[in-house]
This record gives sequence, C-alpha cells and structure tokens, in this order.
Amino acid sequence: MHIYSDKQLYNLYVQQQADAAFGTGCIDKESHAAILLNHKLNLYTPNYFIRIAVALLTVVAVLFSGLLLGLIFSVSSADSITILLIVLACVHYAALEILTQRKAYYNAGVDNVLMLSSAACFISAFSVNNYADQPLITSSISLIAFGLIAIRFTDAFMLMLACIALFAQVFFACLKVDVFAKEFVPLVLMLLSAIIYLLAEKLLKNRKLKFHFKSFNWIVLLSLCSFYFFGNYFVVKQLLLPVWSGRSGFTQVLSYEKVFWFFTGFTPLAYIGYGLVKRRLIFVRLGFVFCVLSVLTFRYYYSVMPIEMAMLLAGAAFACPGYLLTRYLRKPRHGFVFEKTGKRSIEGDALENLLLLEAAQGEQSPNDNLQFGDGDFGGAGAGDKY
Amino acid sequence: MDESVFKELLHDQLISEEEFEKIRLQKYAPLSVFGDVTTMLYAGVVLLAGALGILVYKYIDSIGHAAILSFIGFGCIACFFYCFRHSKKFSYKKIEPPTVLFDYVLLLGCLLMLTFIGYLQFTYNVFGNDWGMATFIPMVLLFSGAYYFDHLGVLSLAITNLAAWAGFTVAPLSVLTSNDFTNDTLIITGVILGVALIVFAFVSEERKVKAHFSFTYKNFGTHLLYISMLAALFHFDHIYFVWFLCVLVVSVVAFQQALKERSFYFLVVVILYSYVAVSYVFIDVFGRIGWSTGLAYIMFTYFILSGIALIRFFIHYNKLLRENAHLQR
Repeated sequence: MHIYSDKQLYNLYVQQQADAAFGTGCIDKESHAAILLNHKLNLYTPNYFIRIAVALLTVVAVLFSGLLLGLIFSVSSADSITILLIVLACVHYAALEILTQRKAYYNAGVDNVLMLSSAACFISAFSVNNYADQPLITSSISLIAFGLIAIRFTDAFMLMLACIALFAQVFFACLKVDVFAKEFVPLVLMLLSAIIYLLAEKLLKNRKLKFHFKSFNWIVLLSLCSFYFFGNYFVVKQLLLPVWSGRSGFTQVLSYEKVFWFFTGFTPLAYIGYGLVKRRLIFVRLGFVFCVLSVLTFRYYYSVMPIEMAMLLAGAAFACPGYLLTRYLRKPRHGFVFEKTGKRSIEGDALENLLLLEAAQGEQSPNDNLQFGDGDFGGAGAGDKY
Repeated sequence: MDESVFKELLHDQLISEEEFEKIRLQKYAPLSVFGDVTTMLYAGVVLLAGALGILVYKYIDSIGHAAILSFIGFGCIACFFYCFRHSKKFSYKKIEPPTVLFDYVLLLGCLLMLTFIGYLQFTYNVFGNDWGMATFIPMVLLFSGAYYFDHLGVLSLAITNLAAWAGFTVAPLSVLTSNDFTNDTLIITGVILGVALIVFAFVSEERKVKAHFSFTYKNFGTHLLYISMLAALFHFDHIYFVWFLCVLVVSVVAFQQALKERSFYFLVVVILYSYVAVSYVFIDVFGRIGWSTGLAYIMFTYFILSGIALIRFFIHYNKLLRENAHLQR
C-alpha cells in the first residue's frame, strides 16, 4: 500500500526510538551507534534548512511548469484550464512516484511539495466550473485525494488535510439538510472532532500501524484544536454562521449562544486539567494557548478593560506563575520537573533571535502618533546622518 | 518510547538489560516543562514591557512625567541591581546564567532601559535635536550588558539598536517594508553595516572573545548585507552589473565559508539570495531586448531548469556535508 518498503519504514521507526532513548540518556553512545548500524536507512531526508530551500525551489519549478504548459497550449477557457490542471496533477504525481522510488525521498521537501501540488491541481480541476453541490463534491474529492496520498506516502500533513476535507464535507452535507440540522452544525463538527480524536488514540495502540504513528499524533493535535475552534463563540458567530445564514430562512442570531460561551471558557480549562492529571503535555500546552484565545474572544465582544491593563495582567499572569513554577518544580513533583533537557540547536537560536526582534520592535520604533523617534526612517531616532 | 521495539533490540543484544530497564522506567519519569515555563517567562516579560510602554504613552500627561519616568527608572535599576548581584565573574567564554530568573530579569531591565531613555528624550529633550544619541547610548549600554552578562537576547537588541542608529529596521516582518531602499545612503550604510557585523563575527571566533556570539553577528550581518546588495542591484540601474559582481564575489566567499563550517543554514541563505540576484539580472538582460511571447517561454524555462538544478545542487551538498561530518573541527 505504501511506497516505502516495510523494512525501511521499520528501520526509520527504530532509529527514531533509539534517538529518543539516547536523548533521554537511557542508552549510551555505543548502543545508539550499534542500533543505527544495524538498522540502516536508505531513505533520504536532508537537513531541515535544505528541506525548506528545496521545497521553495520545487514550488518555483512547479509554478512555472504550469505557466509554461498554459502558454504552450494557449489555455484560456474554463474547460481547457480544467484539462490543464488534470494533466499537471498527473505529471506532478508521476514525478513524485518516480523520485520517491528511485531516490527514496522521504520528507525531502521535493516530495512534500509534489504531493501537495498534485492533490491541489486535481482538486482545483473540480473547482473551475460552477455546478450543483460544488462545495460538497470538491470536499469529497479532496478527502479521497489527500487520504490516498497520505496512506501511500505515510505523510502526516496529507492526513491532516484529509481530516480538514472531512470536516468540510460534513459541514456542507449538514447545510443541505433542513433548517433544524443547520442550527447544530458546530455541535456536529465538535462531535466529529471527538470521534476523530478517539479513533486516532485507538489507532495509536495498534502496533501494526506503527509506521503511521507520527501521522496519528498529528491527527490527535488537529482534533483537539478543531474541537476547541468549533466550540469557540467567535469562530461560530463570525466564520461559520455567515456561511449558512446566507441560505434561506436563517438569521444572524444564534439561538443557543450561551452554549458556545461555555465551550469557549470551559474547553481550555478541561484540556489543562486533563493534561496535568494524565501527564500529557500536549493538552496542557494547547489548553494555555486556547485560554489566551478565549480571553481574546471575550475581549472582542466585551471590552472590560483597556489593552494596556489587559497586557499588564497577562504579563503578570505569565511571569509570576512561571517564576513560582521554576522554584516549585526544581524537584520532580506531580510527575513534572523544571529541568533543562537536550542541547540548544542553531534553529532554536535563530528562531529566538527573530521572535525577540519582532517583540522588541516596539521598543525601538514606537508608534508614529507619539511623534517620538523623529528620525528619517522611523527608527528610534536614527536618521541617515550620524 | 515503544517498549516492544527495545525488547527486540535487547533480544538482538544491541542494548543491555540495564538500558532496557531504564527505558521501561522512562514512562514513569517526570516530564520536563523547562521549555514551557521559560516560554511563559519570556512572554510575561515582553507583555509587561509592552504594557508599560503603552501606559506611559497614554497617561504621561495625567500621571506626570517625573512620576512615570521615576517608576520606569526604578524598575530598570532594580533589574540591573539583581543582575549585578547575582552575575558570575566576567569571562571571554560562555557563562551559564547563575539563576533561572537571571536571563528574564536582565531582558526586562534592558527593555525598561530602552523605554526610559526614549521617553526621557521625548519629555525633556535631553539630547536636544541629536536623535541619534537616543539610540547610540542604549546601543552602547546593551552591547556592554550583552558581553558582561553573556546574554544572546540582549545582544540581538543591541544589534537592532545599532541598525536603528544607522537608520535601519531589522525586525524580520518589517525589514522590507519599514526601510526606504530607494535611498542611496541607506543602501550603502546597509552594506557597510552588514560587512562590519560579519567581520565582528569572524573576530569573535578567531580571538575567542565570546565566540558563541559569532552566529548572531553572522546571521544579522549576512541577511543585512545581502538585502542591501540586492537593493543596490535593483536601485542603481546604471551600474547594477557592478553590484551583481559584488554579490557573486561575496557569495563565493560566503559559500566556501559555509562549506568549511559545515553550516547548512548559511549554505541555504547564500545560495537563495544569489539565486534572486542571478534571476533578476537574467530577467533584466532579456527584458531589455523587448518583451514577447518567446521571452516568456525563455523565462519560464529558465525558472524550471534553474529550480531543478538548484535542487540537485542542494541535495548534492547535503550529502557531501553529511558524509564529511566527521571531519568537522
């Protein structure tokens, strides 16, 4: 079913397990080296930066190949565009199969972009012309296209796209039924998220599917995010409601909006509580992020305090517990510990520099309304004369 | 970790019994929340500094300049007092922070200092019309703080101030929009500053003066130099070929240096910037002939073939660098 050999996928899995064990100090350097030697990998996965560069260049090549073909065949009408897109989908997929089989690319950047472009071209071919039930049919085709590629190439991103296509399919299917069903679309989507989560957790226990464990972990993350977002008041009122309220017999008012305020507030806290009890950091981390989003959602509708007070409180809410945790968790408590693990990578340093620069940008270049920083280029007072 | 995999490895005698036992007990080991808590501290510090900036801006007239500036000044002094009290002895080598809170208190102190000096200038016009001094003094203080306390974040702030003093904004999301790259002086300044930062990186490493700072200098310097040279290429229409040669020369040197250091990151940065320069010259040269359908064919074919060629190039060098990783000094 998948393009890579079972042996190679198994060796990859073993190497990942060995890296994790070595990283936590459970095995020594010699054992780690011996495991890698006995489970050699022929799959080609370049360095992270090379991957990004190769992906960008593949995008360039793919884009201009489409433009070139369009120019050669003088594509102008909707039908000719549809045919071009299908041809491109086939060409990209053929290139993907050949490169993966001959060069054993695995998350090399090239294969990731070709997967996406072949699926995107195929799906776009069904979006060119207007016809009845177009969104529903397009989302169904997307589900099939992304799903098949995800299984063939054991790709987590494609599987996530397949799940998103499933959400879209269910959403548009619900819109086709009567008014009563439309009212409960967000709840249906939340239920679907919960089902996907439970299914992914069950599949993670099936060792026969170990080659897809990485994909299933991403699906768990996606389902947790989608459960929150489909219950978030802002998302339902501003994004989902306008889509179905355009249909006949619908207003812009949610008849049971308190339910969504409840989910907006309760879901992040439930995630944090569950994560702390079961020692699953993914829940705790998501819970904190969603807490922030819930506060912002509340502020959007009820501005209870000025932004500077909110930032002050938020800053204190982050900094004070953060400091207390560094002291409280110096020794392991309740299954958690504040202990540095692993070495910092160049990517980590580069990312931290960039984030700090963006965050501190305001300190160097304050708001122009302040009439501060009257330099020629909007910097903190600097000009072209110095 | 998957215990069944390690059972097989134990059976194949690739790991010892003791190691297997450690792995088996690993699922009961406490989870490290180091990254999460440090992220919280960082976010807290940045939000507090930002809130203070807005508070000062909005209420400076009602609360009173002296009161607010005193408050910020006091906060800044308190932070630096803490840092001086807990800091380790100065060393040219890397120093680990003495306490967990040290890095964040130092960062808060530096951000407060920037706010303080900026509003001091705004309120009391301390530096007169010489706005450059309002950036120069914090820059010197930030560089001093970065070296004395050994803090990469403060070094980044210092370099940002250096760029601001020279007239640049180097924040990633606004570097292309906030700078006026049609200004000749700014472009030349960017080139000089980029070269200076790269030289600084080189000197840091060779003289072993905070050698671990060299990546930060080189990172900023490389991007600034290339962006400025590309701006020169686009802007100086009559002599753009000279700038193109400059880009090529710099790229050859930087490429060799990236290979020597086995740095994938700088290899990618150098090649991608060079590709932009080469593509621009190619389009410009053919564009001067006159736009036509034939030219469009040539352009599209160029991008397809060059894209594929560079992909093969990157894959080749990725394999080469990996194979020779054991040769790294």
